[in-house]
Amino acid sequence: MKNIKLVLDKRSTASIVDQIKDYIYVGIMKLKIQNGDRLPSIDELYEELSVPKTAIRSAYQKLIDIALVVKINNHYEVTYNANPNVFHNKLILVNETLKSSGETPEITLLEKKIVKTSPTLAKLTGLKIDQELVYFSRLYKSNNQPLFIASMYFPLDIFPNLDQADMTGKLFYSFFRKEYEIIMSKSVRKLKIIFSNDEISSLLNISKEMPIHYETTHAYDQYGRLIEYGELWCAPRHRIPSILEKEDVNQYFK
Amino acid sequence: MIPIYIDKFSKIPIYKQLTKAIENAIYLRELRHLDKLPTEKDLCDLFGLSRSVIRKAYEELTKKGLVISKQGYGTFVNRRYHFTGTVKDIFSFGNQAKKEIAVVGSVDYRNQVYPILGLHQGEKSYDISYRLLIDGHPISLQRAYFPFKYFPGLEKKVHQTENFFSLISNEYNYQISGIYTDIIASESGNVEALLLNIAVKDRIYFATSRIVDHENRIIAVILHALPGDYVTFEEVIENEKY
Repeated sequence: MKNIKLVLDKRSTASIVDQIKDYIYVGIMKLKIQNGDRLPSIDELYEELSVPKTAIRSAYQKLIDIALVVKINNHYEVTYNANPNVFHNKLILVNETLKSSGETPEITLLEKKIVKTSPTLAKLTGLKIDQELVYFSRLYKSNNQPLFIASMYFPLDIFPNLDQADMTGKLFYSFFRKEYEIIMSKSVRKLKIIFSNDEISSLLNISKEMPIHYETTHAYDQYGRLIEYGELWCAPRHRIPSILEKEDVNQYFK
Repeated sequence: MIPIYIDKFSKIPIYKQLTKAIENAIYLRELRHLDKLPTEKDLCDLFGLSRSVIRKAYEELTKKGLVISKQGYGTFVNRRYHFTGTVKDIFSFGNQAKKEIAVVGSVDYRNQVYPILGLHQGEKSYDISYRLLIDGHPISLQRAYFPFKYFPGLEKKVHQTENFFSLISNEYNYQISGIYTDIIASESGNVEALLLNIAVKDRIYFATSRIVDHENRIIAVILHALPGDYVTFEEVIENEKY
């Protein structure tokens, strides 16, 4: 269970139920309380706040109603599935993030091989046609549900013997810095929506032609060379969150 | 009919001449967004060209993103504004977007938003639909839900302001502590298709934003639909520690 420091404002016009609900709700939206986290039990919160147990139960029920919390046996657990920073605007070790959010991650290597840059890939990436690349394709699952498929291309001339390396459980960028002294210094990510094709649908275990998030990554090293081209197909339950803090609101919200 | 001039004696391949002619017509606005291009057969008959030449030209134009083909319907000009920016920018699109209010009304229930707002069936909420347009092209359809209990008399004020932010913070004196949004991939229904100028079942981004005040209350919810064909989100991550 995460330690949730909940303070109630007795002068507030909002009911105790709403204050508890809102506090947890905002905690979830801010990703401070994450998917799989256990909420304090009714008894624990009762001891901490000395408010009626029915109020706590109603607050939890409201969170269940909006599908942010589930009741499993006798405990309450967050089910908000946004581990988005993982892909979109931060560099995070996916595995660790999933673990810390209570999910059981599982990564399957679908394919690893050396490929030559096709004309299409050359156009997308700026790489030379026929340049050799190491290609990795992985399926990420959590709690036995497919989360996303990631395919990555790395130039073999920049990373000799990368195809021989065992990358299980390793973050590519850290490995590159340590083994090749290549520092990933800029990563450009583009997010689109596409309809899943048959292959992606079957790997993600979803219906055919489903709208899904699709993201490409172009990563560059300290010399400005392209060191990675990546593609990501996300399962439909994937949500991309965006947080506007107080300071952002003025700039972005009009 | 667009002015197409083909010189069969020229050294420039015919498909290139055709591509260039259509491109020019698009840039000169003789052809506009969603104008239908002649079919392969029409052009064959007209210029006595082989179909493969025309197909090649259309493929070239498709690659450049200037036209789109819809199976069974034909090939259409695609000159609609395409937004590329960060996810954070879905409220103002770099301050380029113009707001156009479609409906100011009220509801007493909406299953997508009432539970989030903590409202019960029967409690009233304003339901304001508006579009954001760039260059006259809709880039976002938004529906904002402002509960009566937090925003009394909103219907009188909503037309006087371009800006929800100043409405919430100046007219009603709420301090916004944050706005939390999540975005999923979805398909357009009838209303989205109509107001976003896209087809039914086209891909859309569907976003839900919660506006939270300093007392942690969710005082408003905004639902957004953005046309997937015309919006790309881009983030640049630089010099991050890992």
